Amino acid sequence: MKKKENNKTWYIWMILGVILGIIIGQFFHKDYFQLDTQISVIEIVDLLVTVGLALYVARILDRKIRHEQFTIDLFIAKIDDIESQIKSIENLIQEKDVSMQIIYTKFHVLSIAKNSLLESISSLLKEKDYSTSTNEIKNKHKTFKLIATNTPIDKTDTSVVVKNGKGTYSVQRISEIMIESYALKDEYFKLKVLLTE
Amino acid sequence: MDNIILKIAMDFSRTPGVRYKNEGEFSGEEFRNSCLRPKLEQALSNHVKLIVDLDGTAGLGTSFLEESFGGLIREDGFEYKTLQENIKFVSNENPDYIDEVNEYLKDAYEKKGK
Repeated sequence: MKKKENNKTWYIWMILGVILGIIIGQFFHKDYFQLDTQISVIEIVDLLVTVGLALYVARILDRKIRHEQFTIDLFIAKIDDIESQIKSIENLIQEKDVSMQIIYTKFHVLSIAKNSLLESISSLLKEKDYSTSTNEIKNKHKTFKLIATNTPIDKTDTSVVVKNGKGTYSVQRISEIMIESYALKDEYFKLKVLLTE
Repeated sequence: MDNIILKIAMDFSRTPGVRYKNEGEFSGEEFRNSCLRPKLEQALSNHVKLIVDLDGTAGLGTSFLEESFGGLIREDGFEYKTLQENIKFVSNENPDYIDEVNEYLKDAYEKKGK
């Protein structure tokens, strides 16, 4: 249906173009217009080179823009993946008797993914933006891991109770972890904005 | 004598665990007592460095790292300077661990001083 409407609009524009062409053509019959019916070889060559260059530049630029967009899309997909890893940690810490080893492994994978992302986006951002954004992300990662994987030195502290390698987080500790994970996700959101600017 | 290499994944466990021995398997406390401290003492008596390789594990939690390395100062009474000069940390997989361990050593030293 939409294609038919597009075709209709196209025909209307074509008809308007022909009418405009006829009107302009009429001016060439007037005295104040002089139409040279001869064209030199140099002018033809000049015209062909200009048109050729225009097409060439348009194609190369188009390809470059597409490539850049593809790269940005790829990094945004990578950030989405990191965000879903953070979300999965958020869910995990709310469970009772959760395997601490699984939490450590999740943080291990998350950290490797973060390092790989930050290394590869350096060429896409301005130096100042890159250093501000990456420093914030690194700091937030550090705090997030600390609050989620640090069990108390003081054995009477019950913020995380661990038995047989399985831990249960107190409500207060869960809230603190959620606040840090939100702050981290916010930094990734800012990075996405920077990448699409 | 060459430097002594301690690879956590090979010499202790690929899945290091929690902080204390009574909290579960492969704890930081167990690692410090059975691997880290003996190797460190060996390195110190032979005037060589202890190279701690942090790669190859399935993840190192804050408690494990803090109890292992911070515990050397807090529990075993090692000097911060001695540890700084004689232990070298290596991690190609996740260099964040090196920064973490250095921070825990510094924290333990600062807390001990207070």
